[in-house]
Amino acid sequence: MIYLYAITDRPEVAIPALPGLEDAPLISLAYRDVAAVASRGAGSGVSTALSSPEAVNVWRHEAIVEALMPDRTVLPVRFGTVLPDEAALRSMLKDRYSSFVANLKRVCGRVELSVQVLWDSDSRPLTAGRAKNINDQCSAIGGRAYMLARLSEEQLERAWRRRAETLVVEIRRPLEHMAADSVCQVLVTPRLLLKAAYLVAREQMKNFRKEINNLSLAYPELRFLCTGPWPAYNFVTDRKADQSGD
Amino acid sequence: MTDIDTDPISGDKLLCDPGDLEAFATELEQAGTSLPHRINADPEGVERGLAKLVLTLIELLRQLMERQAIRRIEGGSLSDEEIERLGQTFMKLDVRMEELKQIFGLEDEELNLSLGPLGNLL
Repeated sequence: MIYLYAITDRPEVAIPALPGLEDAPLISLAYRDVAAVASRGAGSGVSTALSSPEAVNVWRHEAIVEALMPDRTVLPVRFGTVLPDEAALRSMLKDRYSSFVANLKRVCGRVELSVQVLWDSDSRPLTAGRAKNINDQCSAIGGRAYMLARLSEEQLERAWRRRAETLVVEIRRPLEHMAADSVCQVLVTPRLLLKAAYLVAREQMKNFRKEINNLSLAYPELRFLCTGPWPAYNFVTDRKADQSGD
Repeated sequence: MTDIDTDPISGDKLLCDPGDLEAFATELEQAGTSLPHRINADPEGVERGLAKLVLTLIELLRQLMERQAIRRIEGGSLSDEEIERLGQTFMKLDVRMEELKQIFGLEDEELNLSLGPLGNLL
């Protein structure tokens, strides 16, 4: 069994001397100008690590991907990706070569920065399905009272969402200018206003950080968490799968 | 060999420190709760899992219908009698949902599905 960590360019560069999962040594398998960094498992060993994805294994996977980053471009592979043997890995490299090259070109010289923003959600109105008190109060009064109470609740909810969306636009505007790409989710939870990832050139990291600090000062009611640099997990797409419509 | 079994976020990964990482951890954990860690295939778990899925879909339909009705009230296309009837229907549906949730031991927060990058269903 082969456990896969990353796809990289520059296959001629030596891989770091780090232990892989279950302390298996790292190997590099090249195809043209790309390489897969993996480790061989005895089968049962790697399976154990995967069936129990403990933090220590996840961080080890992450640390190996990050150790590759300083001297090559890296496409991180999701934790838990295994192939049956080296032949399967070689075949995968060959089949997806053009996709890997396109992705390597896209993330070359760039890193992923994560931004999360919390806001005060106490002002959130009651939401549909949770307004049990409305139901209790209205059951004695009737259906019309219930619907009007729900209408009022819905209008408050819409206003609350509009406020969130306006804030997110204001926060994202200065950050977008510094990023080659970004992905974002708004209100994943009522309190988590923004959860975003930005693909940023390494030399822009300092400016990005400065802009986050500026935003923190401009919006003291919000709390900003910015972490990185991370491998570009959110910006690697399988173009072969995209094209085939899978 | 380098020691790599440490949590990198405690090191130089923190570019902007909000001073309260615990609050972020709580929210991110909550954001991930709709994504099942593993499918529970034991016979007892299957029944509850199926009930959760069905009730989530019913709740989604209930909310969609209720929102549609609210929009029609806002648009002024419903008579008082129709509003009364719709309100009675939604209240009864809500009561029935509560009963079903109690039977299967489900909380409101559990009736949701993660749609990955699109966020949660409800």
